[in-house]
Amino acid sequence: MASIRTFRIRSRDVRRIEAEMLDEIDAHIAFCVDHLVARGVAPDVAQRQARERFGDYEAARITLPESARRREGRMRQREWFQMVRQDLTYAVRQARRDLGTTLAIVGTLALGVGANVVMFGIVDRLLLSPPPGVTGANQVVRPWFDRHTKVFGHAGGFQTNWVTYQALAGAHGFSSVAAYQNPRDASVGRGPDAEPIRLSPASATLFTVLGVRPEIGRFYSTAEDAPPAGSHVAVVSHAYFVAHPDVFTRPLSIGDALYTVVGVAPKGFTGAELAKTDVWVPLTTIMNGDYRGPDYLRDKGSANLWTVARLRAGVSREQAAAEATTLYTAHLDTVFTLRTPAPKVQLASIVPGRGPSPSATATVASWLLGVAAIVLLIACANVATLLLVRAIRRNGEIAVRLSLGISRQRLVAQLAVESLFLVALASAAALLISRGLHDVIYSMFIPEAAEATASPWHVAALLAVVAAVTTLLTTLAPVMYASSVDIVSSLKSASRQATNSRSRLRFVLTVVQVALSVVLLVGAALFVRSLEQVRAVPLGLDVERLVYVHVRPPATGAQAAATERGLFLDEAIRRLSALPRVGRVALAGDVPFRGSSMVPISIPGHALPRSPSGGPYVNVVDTSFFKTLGTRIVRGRGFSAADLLHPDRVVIVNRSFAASVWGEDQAVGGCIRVGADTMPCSIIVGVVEDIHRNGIIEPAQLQYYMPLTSVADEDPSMIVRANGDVDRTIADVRRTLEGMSKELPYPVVTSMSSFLDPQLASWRMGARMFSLFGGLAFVVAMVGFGGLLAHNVSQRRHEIGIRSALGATLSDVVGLVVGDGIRVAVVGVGVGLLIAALLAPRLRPLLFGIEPRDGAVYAAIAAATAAFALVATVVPARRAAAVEPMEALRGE
Amino acid sequence: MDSQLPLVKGTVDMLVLKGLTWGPMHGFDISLWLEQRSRGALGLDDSAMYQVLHRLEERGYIDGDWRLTENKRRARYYKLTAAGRAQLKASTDMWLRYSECVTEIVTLKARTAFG
Repeated sequence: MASIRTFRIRSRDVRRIEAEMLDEIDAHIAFCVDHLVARGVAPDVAQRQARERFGDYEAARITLPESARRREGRMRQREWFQMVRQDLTYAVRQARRDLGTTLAIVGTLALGVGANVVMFGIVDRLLLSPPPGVTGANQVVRPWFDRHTKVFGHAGGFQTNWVTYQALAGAHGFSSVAAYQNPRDASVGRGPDAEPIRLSPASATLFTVLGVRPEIGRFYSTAEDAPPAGSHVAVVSHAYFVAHPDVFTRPLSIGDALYTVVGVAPKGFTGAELAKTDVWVPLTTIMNGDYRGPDYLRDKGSANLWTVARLRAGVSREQAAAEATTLYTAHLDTVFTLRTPAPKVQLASIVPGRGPSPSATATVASWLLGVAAIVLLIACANVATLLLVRAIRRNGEIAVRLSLGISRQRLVAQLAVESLFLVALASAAALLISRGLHDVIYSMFIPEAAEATASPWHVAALLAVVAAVTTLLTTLAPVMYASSVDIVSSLKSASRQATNSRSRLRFVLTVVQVALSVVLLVGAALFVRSLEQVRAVPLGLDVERLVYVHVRPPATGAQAAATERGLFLDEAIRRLSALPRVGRVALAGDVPFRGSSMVPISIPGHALPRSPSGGPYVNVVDTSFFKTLGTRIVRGRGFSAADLLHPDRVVIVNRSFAASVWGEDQAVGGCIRVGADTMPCSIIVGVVEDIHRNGIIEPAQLQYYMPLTSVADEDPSMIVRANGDVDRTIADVRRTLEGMSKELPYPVVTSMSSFLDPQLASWRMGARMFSLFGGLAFVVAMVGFGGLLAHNVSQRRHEIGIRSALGATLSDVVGLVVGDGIRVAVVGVGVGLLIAALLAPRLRPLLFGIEPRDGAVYAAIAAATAAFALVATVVPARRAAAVEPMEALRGE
Repeated sequence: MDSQLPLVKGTVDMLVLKGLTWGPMHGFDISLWLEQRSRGALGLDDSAMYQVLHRLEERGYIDGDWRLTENKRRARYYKLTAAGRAQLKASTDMWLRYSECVTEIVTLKARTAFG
């Protein structure tokens, strides 16, 4: 039968086929000669004639063997396809016959595969792919400035200033250089039409460096981005254009100017980083506005620009970096930066997660990919047991087929096709699910780039690898079983023998599942605890009740701008304070987590305190600031109305500042000269608790406060303390502000706890996803565990029957079943905790406030697993207890 | 020998299959049979015929097998498979219909039909 015979084209077969063809030709000629000789032709003439008759005899001796070889090759191909089609039909039939098991297998595998597809997509976006739309990405670099500063010590970062940017632009090693700032909140339109947007200032060269082409229209040119003031043109994102198709017909009113839109960026483009942007405008225009003039052109001290460059063809990264270092050093500011140790420029990849300082999000995402791989392993172990059980049930059928002559390799191939079919179904399901959950997942991990997707090629490659590995792992168990089937004994008796190797295999697979899920649960618990610890850090203010408000009051020109601003803010505070959902309102120059300022100070009789985070930082605040924030005044008093008459004479310091100079108890009455050291003393009237300046986790900050009197040069923000629900308060505040003027740009009103979200992101992500994956893995493992026990009970019915008949009590029988479970659970949990203890120290940099080998966590997980395992033994135990001895003895 | 007729592509396949209807034959026998039945009109050289045999075997219409002749000579015998039989019937039907149609038109005495 053609279907059993396997054609194999190996090189010795090729030679055989060709030799046989030559034999065939020789035989043909011989027959022909005989025929002719029988007709009376002389033998040598006959030879000649036979060859002539054959056609081009010499050529044929070459072409026919080749033709024969091709024939064999194509026949083998045909047979192979037939075989696969047969196997596939068989696999589909099996799947439909046993629908329950099939769904369980496909579901479990879909979980494992899906987890990997999702996490890989994130990791791909963060660590493997450049931001969307960037072409020729391996030629695009981000300069990283490695320097030592007088105030901060060793500082490394991507930020720099205009002077450095211009210096780099002159480098021969770069074909073009661009600078940009991260997106900022801005408002388009006024009054009821006002809308919030994310505005990115970027040099015209940004689009050239990144190699993007506009989707519609054009990008602004270097002529439109010329210092000092640029021009009022803009490029919008694809999403913004879709939401506002009329964007070319009317200019955008942003800030105090009207911007004409000249083009639309391609879909998904977010600039040089993964940061949602609605509108790009020329960098010079914004710098001119921020600095109120062309002073930015001479700024070599700030760190408010990010740069990105494209390497010139033929120039290596090292050459370009060396040149950049030379140019950087030549234009170095000498006020803040030290010349030794020598500053350096490194050129980092444009891929967001790669860079001299590792991104927490990228690191956690990588760990979670590892977690997903473990989930897949658990799923494979689970499915392998299901397939093994199915193979055992089909013992009889397998034996029959083997005895009919099917080769074992053919059987293995058929089992592999079956697995592959199930894996393919699971992969399709996984892809669909991950597509559906895409938005949810991306908004959790990279909310800035929710529009972007992972590169489909990368995902396809991963899927192929995962499918191959999964098929391999899940086929192993049934294959190992099938190749060991003893035909004779299988044909003779029912599948009652529980051979040792089979049970051992199932035991091992179940232990693997339990152990791995314990590992994941430990990781999840560590992350959850870390998140709790981070959120419990005292910040010095009641952040969850505070609302940040920032609005640019419109200038009607009726009075001096500063006066108008002042009147508007006073009125705003009055109206807001009157709202029932508002407790207090404060006004401040800087808001915690949103920025800080520093001015030179001197302290007579004391050295200036040093801190690795710089400072001391100053903030101008009104009299209700500390009460609004809920910050405790620990010595002295807060600001009073009287202080507003002499704002330069009083100052309040925070605890850390006080402790580092005068001592907390002696601080009140001390003197600080703010500005030059010829300035009169500002007397310390109070000491307050430390308020965190920038981060949840930061070293002690040195801060001091002065009274806010005029809003002349300040652009103060309001902080509102909510009475009750923060979201409702935000809505009320917004409504009130919008009602104050028809010319108002979009007011920024957000909860202050949202400022902390980016900092909590990596812990939140770790906690959520680890828990999700860990929980799912645990469920799969418990199901596998229960399945093992149930299977054991059904396999040992005979044995149980005998024991019962011989007088075993109920508790003995139950003990038998429970004993199985205990063995698996103990070994599984033990191995799991061991692996967890070995791997956990690697998590240390990602954790907070908890040791990787925290005993309480490990004990809790062990106890929980044991409890679940115990519960899982209930049903099989009851079934064991219900076995009737006589029935069992009679056999199936 | 009559003058040689040019071979229409695909018909040789049909002829070879027909030849094997009565039992397996080896390459030379097939070639001889074709020559004798066509009274030499079909000038098919053997090398080309073997290409045909390869094609037919690849498609599963015939099966090739080494056997011994009555004279204890080794020869590769080809036999018709079930698929080959079906293919023969199908192509014979098509050929007959085609040639019937063509013959009918080509032997017309008058134009008939419209007119």
